[in-house]
Amino acid sequence: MDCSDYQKHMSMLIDGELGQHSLQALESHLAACSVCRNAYERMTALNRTLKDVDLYRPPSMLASRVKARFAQESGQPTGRLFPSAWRQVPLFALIVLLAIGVGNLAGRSMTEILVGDQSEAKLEYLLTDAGQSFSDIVLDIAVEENSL
Amino acid sequence: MPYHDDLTDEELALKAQAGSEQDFDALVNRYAPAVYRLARGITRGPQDAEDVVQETFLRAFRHLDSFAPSKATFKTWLLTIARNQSINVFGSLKRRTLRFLNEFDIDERGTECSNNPFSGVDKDAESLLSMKQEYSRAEQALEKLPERQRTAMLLKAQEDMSYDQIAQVMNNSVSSVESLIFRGRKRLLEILED
Repeated sequence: MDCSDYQKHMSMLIDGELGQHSLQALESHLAACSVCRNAYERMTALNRTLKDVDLYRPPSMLASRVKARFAQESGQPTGRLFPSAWRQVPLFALIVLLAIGVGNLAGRSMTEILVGDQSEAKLEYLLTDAGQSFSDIVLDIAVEENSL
Repeated sequence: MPYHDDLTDEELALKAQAGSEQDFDALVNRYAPAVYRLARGITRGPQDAEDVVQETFLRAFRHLDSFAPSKATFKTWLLTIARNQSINVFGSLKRRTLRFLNEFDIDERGTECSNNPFSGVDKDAESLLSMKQEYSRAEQALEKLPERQRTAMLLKAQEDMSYDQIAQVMNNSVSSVESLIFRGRKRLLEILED
């Protein structure tokens, strides 16, 4: 190991990340190498500065502004972001109604539902060719108009 | 709020997951400053940093279900979101342009707003000046580091996170974090002693 390797270990030592075995080797090296001792002192001083200097102090009302933004995002003046149980009741009721509705409609096509029984005869007349969809009929009409 | 003070981050997060807004508010109180410092270190702009804080907590709220205490601490999980948000902001050309246009001298910045760390009236002028100079030098030197070195150093020095936690936040290996911090320290010493 050279001084560069030991200096990397110094950095880990300052951060409390150096293992016991490496620590002993480093201590032996530091006892013998003035360049590395000097580097260690400088690194330690730098670390103290970075810890003590209180970099990037946040604005005093930061947390309050974060909470106010939540209130805005959730669209509720009281700032309730989390839906409480009673606020979920309408959603639950809607799901139940939809489930009942879907259950009642089971087995019927959307055409039957929208047009109803009285119009079924007319619809059958329009769709005499089995296998033709509504879009097929529209397409045929368009083709006929273009060919005129 | 003594009740919340007694709870760990993970306990608060689990209660928040169950729907307790008060418990998440306690986490906001606890971690908004740490998220801001990291965001400020990456984006460099105070307004950008505050935007990141807002977005980070909103995302955390929305994805609380994905937080698993067995995988990471709440702080690590939250700062991972914050770093990703900060990098998005930092990488945006629009933001860069705005920052460039809004940049002003660091001396002005030191006295401009209520959150100025040197605004305390109880400090005498000499120590105030000394602190201000130290703050400015450290901040200017940090800004000369590549983003990854700066982030790793800030998470270590300001948040006192372990290399393992920093590796999680930065989606990196522990050995990479060791190298980033070591190279960052060497570079900072070169800059400060230049």
